[in-house]
Amino acid sequence: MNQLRGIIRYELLMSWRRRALPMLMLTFLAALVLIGLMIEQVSATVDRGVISVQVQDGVTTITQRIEDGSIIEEPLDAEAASRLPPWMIGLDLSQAANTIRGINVLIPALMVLVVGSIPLLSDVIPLDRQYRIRELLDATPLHRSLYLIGKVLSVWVGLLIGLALCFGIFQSVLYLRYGAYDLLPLLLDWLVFAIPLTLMTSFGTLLFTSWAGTRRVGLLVGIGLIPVGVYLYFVSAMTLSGVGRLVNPVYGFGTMGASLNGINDQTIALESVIGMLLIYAVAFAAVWMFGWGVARWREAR
Amino acid sequence: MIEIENLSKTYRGGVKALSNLTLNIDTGMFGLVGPNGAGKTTLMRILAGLLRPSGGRVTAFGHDLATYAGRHTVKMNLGYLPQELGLYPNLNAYEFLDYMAILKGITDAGERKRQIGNLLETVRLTDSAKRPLKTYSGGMKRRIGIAQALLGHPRLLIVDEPTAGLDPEERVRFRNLLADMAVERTIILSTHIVEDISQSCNDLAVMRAGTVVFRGAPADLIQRARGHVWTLTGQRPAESLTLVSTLHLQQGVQYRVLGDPGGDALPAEPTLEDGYMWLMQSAELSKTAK
Ligand SMILES: Nc1ncnc2c1ncn2[C@@H]1O[C@H](COP(=O)(O)OP(=O)(O)O)[C@@H](O)[C@H]1O
Ligand SMILES: [Mg+2]
Repeated sequence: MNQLRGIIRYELLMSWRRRALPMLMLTFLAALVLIGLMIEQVSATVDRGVISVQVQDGVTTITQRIEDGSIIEEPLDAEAASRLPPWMIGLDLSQAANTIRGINVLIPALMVLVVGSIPLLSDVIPLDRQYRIRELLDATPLHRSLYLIGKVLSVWVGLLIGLALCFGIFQSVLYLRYGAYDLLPLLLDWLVFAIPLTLMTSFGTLLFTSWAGTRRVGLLVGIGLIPVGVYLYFVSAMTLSGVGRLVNPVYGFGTMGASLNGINDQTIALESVIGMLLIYAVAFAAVWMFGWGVARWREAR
Repeated sequence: MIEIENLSKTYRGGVKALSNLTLNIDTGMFGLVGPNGAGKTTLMRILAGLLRPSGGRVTAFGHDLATYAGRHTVKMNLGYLPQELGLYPNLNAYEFLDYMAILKGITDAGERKRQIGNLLETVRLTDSAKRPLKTYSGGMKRRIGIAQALLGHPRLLIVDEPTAGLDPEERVRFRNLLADMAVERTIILSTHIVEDISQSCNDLAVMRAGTVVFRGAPADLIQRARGHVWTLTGQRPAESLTLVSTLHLQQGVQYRVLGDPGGDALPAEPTLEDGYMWLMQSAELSKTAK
């Protein structure tokens, strides 16, 4: 345990000095800010009922389809409020709109993080061979699994610290610029969508590039892995990004899951969230077996 | 005590680096000499548990290196300085040694600090300990490599061409350091510079083309060349003789040769280098004769 802590400490120190991880996090932060600036209006379409909620200069405008099929757009007054779906009544819509804005910014920015992280992390293990440091490491009694665990955990700890910092900055900017928002759904999106996705892609990147002997080969493999990362991103975005629904169905608004599935029914897509996390667990196990097998195969030569 | 039996290694691609090598190595300092490509590094990497042999058996302190447990036990007691040494460029010397000590399983922070302080002193790098390793010169890197090999007081020390890149003064100091340590451990040192082992090793093996062509004390190797070393002054020796050295003196050029020049050549006292050269030459001759 002490040994693992030491490995993580030094690997973190080196990745800090190598600048790859800080740069990745800065890119992510820049993406959050840029996308945040680009999204001026919060609106979302659901097949029936509420079509969009717009909050501008303190005035909330609701666009919805009423029984006879016509679409009306009106400021949110008592009368309009009475026509809202029951789960929207009593909700601070301005606060909800700010939260949805936050979620809508996170979703595309995470794509930038996923795609950027793959090439940046694909040389973490090959670099040890390139520096010829593996010769020294292999002569120590360090177990190969512990080496891999140390590498993965150090990257994870780095990413988690980075994500936490980004979240802190992001939510303060959100608050300062747009006012109050609902913390829980936003936090849930980071915890259930952003973090598992980032951990999974970094884990896969580290282990799938672990066989490469040089930085260049690692990088090439990493570039080849980007489509896999993008695929994983879309699958997670569709199931996990709408996790705010667990707090209130309104937070399915605008997320990819909402526009694809519709959220008028109030059933919470808990199963799809759990299902996705289970898929993650299986994928983790498979990738781990791969990395471990590669380490064995490498050692046998 | 290391026992090597019929060891062979063929690399992928068919290069036969070791063939049927048998060797026992006792406590103390053991020198492994041979030309480049003789298989010294291959042998040492197998002994360090880094490379799996194609055939044969190796045991170190009674542990079979063919098993994972055996290799693990050996690595617990191993200090290894690879020929092509790599360091983490972004760490400084202190951090690097601390990290290596952690990897070697020295988990007590106080103990690490103490050992690293001593080792930095030993290799005279205390003053540069806070500089990143990428700013180090070749010799300084080597000394850090030596320091990391000594972490944890290993029972078995394998150093592959440790003196490459060291200046003469550092070489002497390093030799003395190893000689001091050899009292209660096994040190295997490889080199292609005969001079490196003439003073410090009482047991050596000469390798050539994957096999051991000589095994014994330095004195025995010197003995082999006795009667074959001559000095000639004036005329250039014939092509068939091996020229060991050329010395420009006042009375003309003096040549030191191996073989039998006849004429007015004077017999000379052989050195270890002469013994080595004579051995290599005989091996070459017996090979071409076949
Ligand atoms: N990884 C390798 N793959 C293929 N051939 C190798 C490899 N390493 C060494 N060799 C070959 O094995 C032979 C012995 O090399 P080596 O053990 O490095 O000798 P030495 O250390 O005595 O100079 C050489 O012919 C070398 O070219
Ligand atoms: Mg060598």
